[in-house]
Amino acid sequence: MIFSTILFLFRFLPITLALYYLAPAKLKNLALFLCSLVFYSWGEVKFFPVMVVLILINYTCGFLMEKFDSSVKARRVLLVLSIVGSLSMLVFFKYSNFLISTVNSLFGLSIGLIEAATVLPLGISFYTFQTMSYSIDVYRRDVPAEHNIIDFGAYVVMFPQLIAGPIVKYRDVAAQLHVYKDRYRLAQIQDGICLFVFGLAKKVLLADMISQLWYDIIGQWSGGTLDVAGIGLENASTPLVWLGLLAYSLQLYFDFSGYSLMGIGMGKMLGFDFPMNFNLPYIASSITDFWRRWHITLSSWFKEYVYIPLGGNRRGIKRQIFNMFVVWALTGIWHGADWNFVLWGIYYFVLLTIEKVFLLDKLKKGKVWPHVYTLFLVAVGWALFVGNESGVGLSLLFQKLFIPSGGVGCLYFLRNYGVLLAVCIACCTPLPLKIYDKIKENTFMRIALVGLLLILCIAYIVASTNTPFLYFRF
Amino acid sequence: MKEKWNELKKYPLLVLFFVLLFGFMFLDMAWPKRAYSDLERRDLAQVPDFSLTKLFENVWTSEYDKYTKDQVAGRDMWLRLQSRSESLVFQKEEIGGALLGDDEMLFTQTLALKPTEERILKGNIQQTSLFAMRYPGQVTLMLTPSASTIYPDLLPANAPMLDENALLDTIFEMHEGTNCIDLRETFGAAAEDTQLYYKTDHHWTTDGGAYLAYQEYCRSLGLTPMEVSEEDFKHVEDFWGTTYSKCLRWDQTPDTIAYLDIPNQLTVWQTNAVGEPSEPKFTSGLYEMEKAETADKYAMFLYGNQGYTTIEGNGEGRVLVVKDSYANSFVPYLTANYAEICMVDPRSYRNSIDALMQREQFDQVLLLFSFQTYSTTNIASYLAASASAD
Repeated sequence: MIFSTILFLFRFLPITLALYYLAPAKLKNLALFLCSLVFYSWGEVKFFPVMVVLILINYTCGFLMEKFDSSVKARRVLLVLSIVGSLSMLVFFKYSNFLISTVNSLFGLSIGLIEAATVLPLGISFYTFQTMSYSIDVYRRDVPAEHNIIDFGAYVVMFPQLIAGPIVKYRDVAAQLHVYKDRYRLAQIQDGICLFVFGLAKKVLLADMISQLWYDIIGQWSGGTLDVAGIGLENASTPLVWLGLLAYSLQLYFDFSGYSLMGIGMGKMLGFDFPMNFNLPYIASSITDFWRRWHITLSSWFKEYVYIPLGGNRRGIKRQIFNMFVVWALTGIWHGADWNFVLWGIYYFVLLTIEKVFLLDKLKKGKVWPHVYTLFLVAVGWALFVGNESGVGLSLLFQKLFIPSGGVGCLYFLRNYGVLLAVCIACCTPLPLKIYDKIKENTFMRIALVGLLLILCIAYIVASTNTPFLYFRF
Repeated sequence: MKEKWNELKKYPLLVLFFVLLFGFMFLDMAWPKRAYSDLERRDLAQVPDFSLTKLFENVWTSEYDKYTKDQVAGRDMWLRLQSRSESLVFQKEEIGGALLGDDEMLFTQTLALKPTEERILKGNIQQTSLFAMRYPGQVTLMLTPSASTIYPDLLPANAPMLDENALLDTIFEMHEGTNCIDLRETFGAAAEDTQLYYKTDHHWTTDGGAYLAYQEYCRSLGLTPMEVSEEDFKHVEDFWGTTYSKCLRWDQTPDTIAYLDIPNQLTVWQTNAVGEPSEPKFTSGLYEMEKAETADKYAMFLYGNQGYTTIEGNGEGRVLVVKDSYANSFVPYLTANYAEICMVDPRSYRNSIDALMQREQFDQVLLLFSFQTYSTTNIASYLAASASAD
C-alpha cells in the first residue's frame, strides 16, 4: 500500500489508528502487527509468507542465542544462520536475476531468469536490514532478545517505516515496544501529525509534480513500455537535460525524504520516536557532509555493521580506504540491482577518499564553492543513478550533459515549472523550517498551515494520474 | 473523562485532524457512487468483485485502490481545486496533458509519437495508399490537422510539440496519385476570422472547420457545395469538451455546438460476422438530441461512432465515408451532393472495408480522419486487401 492514496489516508490509517488507540494496553502490539501485515500484503499477497518466515528465523535465532548464552560457538552459528536467512531473501529477490543476466552476458550463456524474483517484495531492503541489526545486536549483547513474537513481529513489519525507511534498529524502539501504558503522549501525536502532513506535502505537492519535468523529457514508462511519449532525451538540448536532471534530483530528495518524514510522523502518532533520516542534504558543503545528511539511517547502518567491524579507521589508512570501498560498493548495490548503482557507489567511494586524503580541509575554508562543488557532483551522481532507467541510457545522458548540443530548449519548461522549481529549491534550504518555527507558536496559524497543506494534498492525490513509485528497486 | 477532555482541548490541531480523518472516512463511505463522470468523461471504477484468484494476482487490491480514488467523496470538487492550485499557485501552462493557450484555447499536448504509434502510422500510410491504388479515381484522403498546427501562435510560448507538419508532408507525399486534401493552407488562411476548432475540445466546429473542409472536398471533386447561412444552424450551448476535461481550467468559458438543421434520415445497421448490414438497428433524424442534454454533447452528431450507418441524401450517387468522429459533424453537408452516404467507423465496424467495397457499389470513397486518429489508431488492417479480392 502506498501512503499517498485515498485508500491509505481514509481507510487504512483511520482504522489502524482506531484499533491501536482503542486496543487494551497489552494488545496494542498485536493490533499494530496485524494491521501492518495487511499493509504489507496489500500490494503483493504472495509475499506474505516471506515476511512470516523472516520473522520466525530471526525471532528463533535471537531467542536461542540468549538461551545458549554460555556457548560462543552456538551463538556464532545462530548469528550466521539468522544473517544468512535475512540476506538470502534479499539476494534471492533482489539480486538473483541481476547475477544471472550478468553471468549470461559475461559467458554468453542464456540461463533463464527466475520468474518468482522478477518483483521485489515491498520494502525488503529495509526490513532485512532491520532484522540483521536485531540479530547482530543480540549477538553482541547490546540488547536482550525479544521473547514475545508478536512484539518482535510488530517491530519488523511496522508499517510507517516499512517501504522507505528510516531503517530503525531494534534497540532504538525496544524499550518503547514494551511500554504498554501511556505509550504515547498527546503532544507527541500532534507533532507526529504535523510531520506526517509535511512529509505528504513533500511527496505529493513537490516530488510528484516536479517529476513531470523529467518525464516530459524521457516519457512516462511502466515496466519497459512507454505509456506517454516525452520529447525524448536525444531531442533535448543540453540546458534542458541539466534542467531535467535538476528536476530529477529534487524529485528523488522530496520523494524519499517525504516518505521518511511521513514514516517518522506516523511513528510518533503510534508512540515511537524514529531517528531522523534526512537533514537538508542539498545544503551540504562537501560530499562527506552530504552523506551525513542523506539517508542517515542507511549510512549509520553500514557504518555500524560493516565499516567498524572491518576495522574502520583503526588499522591504518590503507585498510580504511579498503573498508570504505566495501561500504560504498555495498551502498551502491543496495540501491538497485544493476551495474550503474555499483558505479554510483564507487563514484562516491572515490570522491570521499579524495576528500578524506586532502580536499576536506580546503573545503572547510571555502564559503560558496564547496556548495557548488557538492551540488554539481551530487547531480552527476544522480545521472549515474538514473542512467539505466527506461528512456534514459547512461552514455546518451552523459553525452547530452557534457557535450553541448542543440535541440528542444528549456524556456518553456522554466516558465511552466518555474514557480514549482523555486518552491522546491526554497524547500531544500533551512528557510521553511525557520518560518515554521515562528508560525508554530501561534496555534491558529499552525492549524491553518497544516490544514491547508493537507487539503491541497488530498486534491492532488485525487487528481493524480501518474504517481511515480521510486521504491520498486529498493 | 472530563480530565481527558480538558487535556484534549490543549491540542486543537490533533482534534481537528482526527475529526477530518474519521469524518471524511465516514462521509466517503456514505457518499453516493457514480458509474460515470461527466466532468472527466469516463467510466469510474466500481467495487471490484472479490475472488481469491484476483487477490493472489494482486488484481483485486489494485482495483480496490482505484475504486476508492474514483469514488472519493467530492471528487469533482477536489479535481477543480487541484486545477486551480496548478493555475493560480504554481502558474502552470500545462495541466493534465492540456496546454492552456491564449484566447482560452486548449490544446492536447503531444510531445512525440510512441514507437508503437510510429509503426501504426507507417502501416496506415501503406494501407491507405494501397487501398487508393486498388480503386483508382475513386478515393479521396482527407486528414484534419490538429488545432495546434493551425494556431501555433496561441500555444504557450516555446511549448514543444510533435512536428505534425513534417509528418503530414510525409503522409501526403506517400500518397502520390491519390486525391489528397491537405487542409492546412485553407485553414491557415481562415484561422484568424473563423473559429475552426472548439476551444475546449479537439474537434472542429460544424460551421467553421467542418464546413471549410467540406468546401475543399467539393472543390477537389468538382461538386457544388451546399450554401449555408447563419439561420441554417441550430445551437447547443454549454459544451465542455474533452480537452477541458483534462485540465479543468478554472476561468474557461464553454463552447457552443452548431448543427445543420436538415430533415434527412439516417439508419444505423446491425452487421453480421463479415460486416454485411443485416438489419437496421434504428432509423431517425441525423442528431441524437438526448445527447445534447448530457456532457458528451459532441456525440449527438450521427449518434456517435457507429460501425455502419447509411444516410439518405438529396443528390446523386453513393459515397462511402471511412472515418473517425471528425466526420460526424462534416457528413451532414454531403447530403446535398449524394443520394446515399454510407459511413464506416473502422474502430466499431471491425471488418474488412475492402470486402465491403467489392460487395457494394460506391461511386466515391472518402477517407476522413484527424491526424491524431490516423497516427495512433490502427485502421490499416481494415483497409488491407481482403482474401475475396482474388
